[in-house]
Amino acid sequence: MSATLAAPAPLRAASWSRRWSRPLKGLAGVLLLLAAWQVSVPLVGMSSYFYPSPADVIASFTELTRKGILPVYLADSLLRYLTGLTVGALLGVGVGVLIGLNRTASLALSPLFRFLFAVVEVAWIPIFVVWFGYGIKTIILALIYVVFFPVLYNTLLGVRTAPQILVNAVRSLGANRWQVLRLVILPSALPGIITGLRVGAGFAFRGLVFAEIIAAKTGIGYLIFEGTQSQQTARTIVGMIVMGLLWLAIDQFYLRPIERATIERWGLTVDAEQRT
Amino acid sequence: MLRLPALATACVLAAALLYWLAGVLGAQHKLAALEPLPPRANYAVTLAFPPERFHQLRLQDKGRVVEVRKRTVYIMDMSPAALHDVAREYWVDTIVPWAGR
Amino acid sequence: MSATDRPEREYRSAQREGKPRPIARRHDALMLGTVPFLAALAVWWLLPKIVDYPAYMLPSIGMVAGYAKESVLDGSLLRNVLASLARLFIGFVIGMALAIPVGLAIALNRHVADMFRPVLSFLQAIAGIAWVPLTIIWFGIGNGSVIFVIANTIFFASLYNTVIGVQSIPVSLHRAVRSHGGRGWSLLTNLILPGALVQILLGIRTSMAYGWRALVASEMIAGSDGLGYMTMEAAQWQRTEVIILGMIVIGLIWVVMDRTIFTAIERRTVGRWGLLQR
Repeated sequence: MSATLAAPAPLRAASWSRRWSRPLKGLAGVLLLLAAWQVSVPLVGMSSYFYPSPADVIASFTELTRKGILPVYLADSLLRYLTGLTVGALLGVGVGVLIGLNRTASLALSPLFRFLFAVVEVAWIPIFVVWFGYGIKTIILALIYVVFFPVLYNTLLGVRTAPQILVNAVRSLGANRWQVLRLVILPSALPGIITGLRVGAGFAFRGLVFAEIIAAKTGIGYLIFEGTQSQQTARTIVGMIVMGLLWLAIDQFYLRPIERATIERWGLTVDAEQRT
Repeated sequence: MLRLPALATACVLAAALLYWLAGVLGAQHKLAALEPLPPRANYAVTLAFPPERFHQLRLQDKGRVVEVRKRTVYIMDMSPAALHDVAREYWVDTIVPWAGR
Repeated sequence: MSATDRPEREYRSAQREGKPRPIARRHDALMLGTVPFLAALAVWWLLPKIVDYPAYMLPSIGMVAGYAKESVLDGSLLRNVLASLARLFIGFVIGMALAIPVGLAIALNRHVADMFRPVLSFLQAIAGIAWVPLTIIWFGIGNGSVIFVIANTIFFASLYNTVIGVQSIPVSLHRAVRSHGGRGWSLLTNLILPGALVQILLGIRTSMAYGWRALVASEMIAGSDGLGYMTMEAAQWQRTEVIILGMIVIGLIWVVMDRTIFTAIERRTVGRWGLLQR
């Protein structure tokens, strides 16, 4: 300990390194993985059909972009995803509200919905294929189905847990049915609806890739599948990476902000992350 | 709060718009020498690389694909609208009229 | 769903408010719940008599029941079910066996956590089905591919819960164990593992949900037998009665698993230790 008091180190330096150390460490982790991958290629010693290297994947990515394949596949997948998500969500909320408002209906239909949900959405693909063949109809219908149930469930829950006190209060002030819906039920159901949407969005994304593997001729899922079929496994990996980045983007830029906005606004401290 | 989704959507839409605009400009450039466009004609569409199944499938919607030789696809009976669609794709290098078969 | 649990409260509050009693008894609710099923069955039975459509679109109840009997009698249904469940179990064990150590490493060491969290989040985004084409190349069609995909799915699903489980151990417990001289291995076995166990067990339900979907989906693409394979294969031959039976069995198995295994786990562990509000 020195006799004189040294001036404290400038705060800026300390906070800078603290702010950046985390992302840098994360980046280091990514680079470490890539390096391990690159190094393992000669160790595994198989052709790029079996075990492509990062260099192969980058080359494949450039090729796919240059040839205009990747943008089109990406756009097709996104379009299908958004369509399925929107229609499924609208149907889920609509039916959820309708059923939720009627006590008997919700009691009666819950077990049926529970069972239908237990028949996992992937199990519906074969019968959709029989009914609608391979192609975009099957894919979007599968997506709608996948989104419909979580949204329905959570909407139902949200509607049924609308505080009766508020409903009574608003009614006693002379509100008609629509106003009760708009002023009390929908706002109190909103966090549930958003939760349902988040779950549905996740299921729909995985369902999209699965449906595209089985029933599509374009799209990221198809790219993943076709890469292995045409001896271009590097393309499969490009597809997987694009899929991962796409989901991270959807989650970070849409799902989490929206959930944070609604749940924070209504003061519910629910751990948003746990509902992945 | 909802700023991030709005911003992300704006970026995506802007990117899509830029992509489309670039395609339109490129199409103008590629088709400049061919104006005026007859109602039905045959063209030899040359890509920057040998076409894959993906490209053939897309071109099949635009006209009758008759032959694929090296990097060129020979298409008959293309309408001006179909021609514009093809010209807008950035992987199409040049388009020249073709006598047909 | 809690819709059947709240009846008692609402029943009494309705009494107080002088409203007509809702049909809120559990018994009545259960009976009410069977109505849609019966209605659906009735519609299914009546439809071929009213509307004309080819049998492959929607086989009659008789056809499905007939195939059900056939496949139960010749043992093929049981074989498929057991094959699927066996793969699920193996994949589950592998996935958990990897998730717990990795989860512990991440939760206990901040540097490891910071380094690998982005990578793992990314890999979690593609967990499951996206790996199927790759596994077909690596392991071929059959058990290897399906088990890999299941293990992959369950690994990522359980990893998160393991980390949360360790992080939710109260610091005071840490201090208590440490003050008694607990370090390293004994800290692990006496504090960390039991403390995280609750969250891990709770998380099993979600990871199994994902795992079950991964099982069915990967069997459809890369399986050589099992429920998913049986259902998808039938689509190619347009044997829709097999598809419908497959769907019903898939649904029933999940309901049974959910009701028996998971609620049992919850009741025995968390319910006992009072962490669950029921």
